[in-house]
Amino acid sequence: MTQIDKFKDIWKNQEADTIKYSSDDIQKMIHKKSSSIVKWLFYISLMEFCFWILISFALDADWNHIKSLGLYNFISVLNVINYIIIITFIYFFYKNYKNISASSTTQKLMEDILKTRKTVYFYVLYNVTMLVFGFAVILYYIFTSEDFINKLETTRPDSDLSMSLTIAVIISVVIILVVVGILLLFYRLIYGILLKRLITNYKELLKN
Amino acid sequence: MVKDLEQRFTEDLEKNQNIIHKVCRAYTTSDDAHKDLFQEITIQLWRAYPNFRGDAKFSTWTYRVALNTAISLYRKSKRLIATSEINDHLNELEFKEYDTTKEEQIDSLYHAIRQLSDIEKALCLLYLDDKSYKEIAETLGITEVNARVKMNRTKLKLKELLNV
Repeated sequence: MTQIDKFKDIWKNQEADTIKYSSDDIQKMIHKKSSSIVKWLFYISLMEFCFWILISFALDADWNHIKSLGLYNFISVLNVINYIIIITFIYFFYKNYKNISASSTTQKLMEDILKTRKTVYFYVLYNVTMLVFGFAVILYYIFTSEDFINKLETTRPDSDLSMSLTIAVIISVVIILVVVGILLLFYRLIYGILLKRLITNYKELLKN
Repeated sequence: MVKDLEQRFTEDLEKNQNIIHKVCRAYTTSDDAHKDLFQEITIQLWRAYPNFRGDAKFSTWTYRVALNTAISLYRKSKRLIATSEINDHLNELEFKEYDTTKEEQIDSLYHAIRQLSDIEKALCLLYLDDKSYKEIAETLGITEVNARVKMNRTKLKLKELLNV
């Protein structure tokens, strides 16, 4: 018997805890709301789904302008594809969320939680890509449209046209990069705080 | 039907609550946090209860859910962290009202366990409760070899912390 083994006796003979709950107390507890990280993950993900759906609605609003740019068909097809993909993401998210069970093995539980987060991560990544792609296409059509070039020529008659266009493109790219940067930083921060402990534990569990 | 299930569950849990208290005492440092974690474990147990098939003992199943909640699901609130150290001290005083030597030994054991990582705490608790390597590996979802390696490391660390 090692020295540590002796502690088993102390452990086994420890007094019952000072706090004792009756079955009535337990019954009250089971009707309380969970505050687990999975619950938070669910709420944050739900907010993310709503946020991106609202963004796509907001971007859809100016149909007349889109029509005038000749992009109506392109945006319509993109929208249909977008909604199919969003529904697929929500389906996988819900499936993964439902799979999370506290009675799984510790490793499986951790993997199921991380898998759920990964679905949302890919969802965000997909939306950011779509946002950048959508903006790039719209900006390309705006910058090459006659309307825009005429406006540029009227407002700045003395300047070099290609130089003005380059400046407009650079400004647009910087704005897009800043927006994407803020979004990704915000995303990393929320999940970083929420899942830091879980990820540390997961890495430790897998380490030999 | 649901009422029957609820009654069976609360009765089973009342009898086995000591397992959850042990986990709570190892993973928290204040009475408030202890109660908070106990409640979260109870909620998780109740949620998983309809799928509890009885092929494992209720106590073994409770142990697994309690450890999983403490390691992966429980989110410490800031309020609880802020008051933890003061309450830890209060806790010690409270426990010392019993058999002093025995309680002191238990206290120092818990004090040492609290300094381990979350995974090491789980290994330590399972070891002290005499679980086999097979059971430990099954609970954590790792191989038996990995469980042995981790356990040896944890034992050494615990030995150092307890100065034995």
